[in-house]
Amino acid sequence: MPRYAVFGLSLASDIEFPELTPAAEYGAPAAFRLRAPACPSSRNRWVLEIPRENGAPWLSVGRAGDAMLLRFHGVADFHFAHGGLDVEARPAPGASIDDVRWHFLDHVLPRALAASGRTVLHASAVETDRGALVFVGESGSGKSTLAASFCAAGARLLSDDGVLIDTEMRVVPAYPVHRLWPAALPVLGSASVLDSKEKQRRAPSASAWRTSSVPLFRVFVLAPHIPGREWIERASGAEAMLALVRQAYRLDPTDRDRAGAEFRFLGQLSAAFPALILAHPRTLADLQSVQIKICEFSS
Amino acid sequence: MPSAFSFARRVAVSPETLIRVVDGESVILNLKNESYYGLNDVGTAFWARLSTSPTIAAACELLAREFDAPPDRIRQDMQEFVEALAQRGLIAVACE
Repeated sequence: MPRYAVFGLSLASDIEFPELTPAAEYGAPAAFRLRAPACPSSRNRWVLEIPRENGAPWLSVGRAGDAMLLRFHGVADFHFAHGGLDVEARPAPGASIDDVRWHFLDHVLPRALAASGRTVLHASAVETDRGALVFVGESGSGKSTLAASFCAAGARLLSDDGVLIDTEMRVVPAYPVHRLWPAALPVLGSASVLDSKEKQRRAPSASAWRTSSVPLFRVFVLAPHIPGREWIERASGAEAMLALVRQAYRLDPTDRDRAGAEFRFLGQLSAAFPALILAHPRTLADLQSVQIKICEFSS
Repeated sequence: MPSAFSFARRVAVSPETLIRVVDGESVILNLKNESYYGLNDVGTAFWARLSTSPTIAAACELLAREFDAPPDRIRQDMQEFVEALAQRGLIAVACE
């Protein structure tokens, strides 16, 4: 089976992942296996439901026997042992393999990593001369666009959406993909895709992708812009830690041991790297000014 | 408003409550329901005294000196603080 580097893991897979870098020896083992389509089962015990913005089901988290089950409705069921990184995917009828693979990378792996005791944040990250800059925020807060703008200016991408921080406070590279809304594609020099409302995937060049871990340098929490207010302000201690807690990937909300361990780690992280609130205008025209401000706070 | 508990009692922090102080403020996690709460610097001082004093009244005395505030005001704030924490299952007022 081919092996790939992803999130510091050596991922063995029975299908190709063209967006990943082949790597025979890289890190802890993980696996992806594509299986026959899912069969309905009444034995699943669901613990969490996350709907789409329109209320339709998006993700159901449950247990199927001893295994964890992530059901992305209309895409696939993903099974793995709690704490394990050996994932079986059973596609939904009609689902494309691209969609299954992307859901595995974007949504399943960060949650499986979190359940295995690692900390993954909803964030983007880039490597600069001073270390890793991490931009934490909700979906749609602009973290991918910001990371892409730094990469266009010479920084190297560490992650577009899920940032894994190890126990030595280093950012572990995720996988080399920018995911941008069509209107943000010009940030990377690509033409806009006017007929799509989906995020578009673009691979960075080899020189714009970091392949090994980078010490954390600054954490920015993205917040809505308020005209007249400073774009960057220091977050208070509780505000900073709560922002990280809110943006940490979690798999099973009933797993108290994991919640406690994550709480302690994020406390250490918040104390060691006081976060800054970044509330800049969400316009492409302001991106260069935002970068300059960020660099001023990162010197 | 009369207090629902005696200030002569002490509070017990639930074993399922975790607290972390960051830069003078606190974040509390209730493991029972995975709820998170933030305390500002004053709330953090109240928590510190409340969780280590032999009685709620003793915590109030310390805080009145610390903040140079009228004891009645501190007692009123403490009553609201204890009720809010107890309501969220973070502490219990111990039996005499």
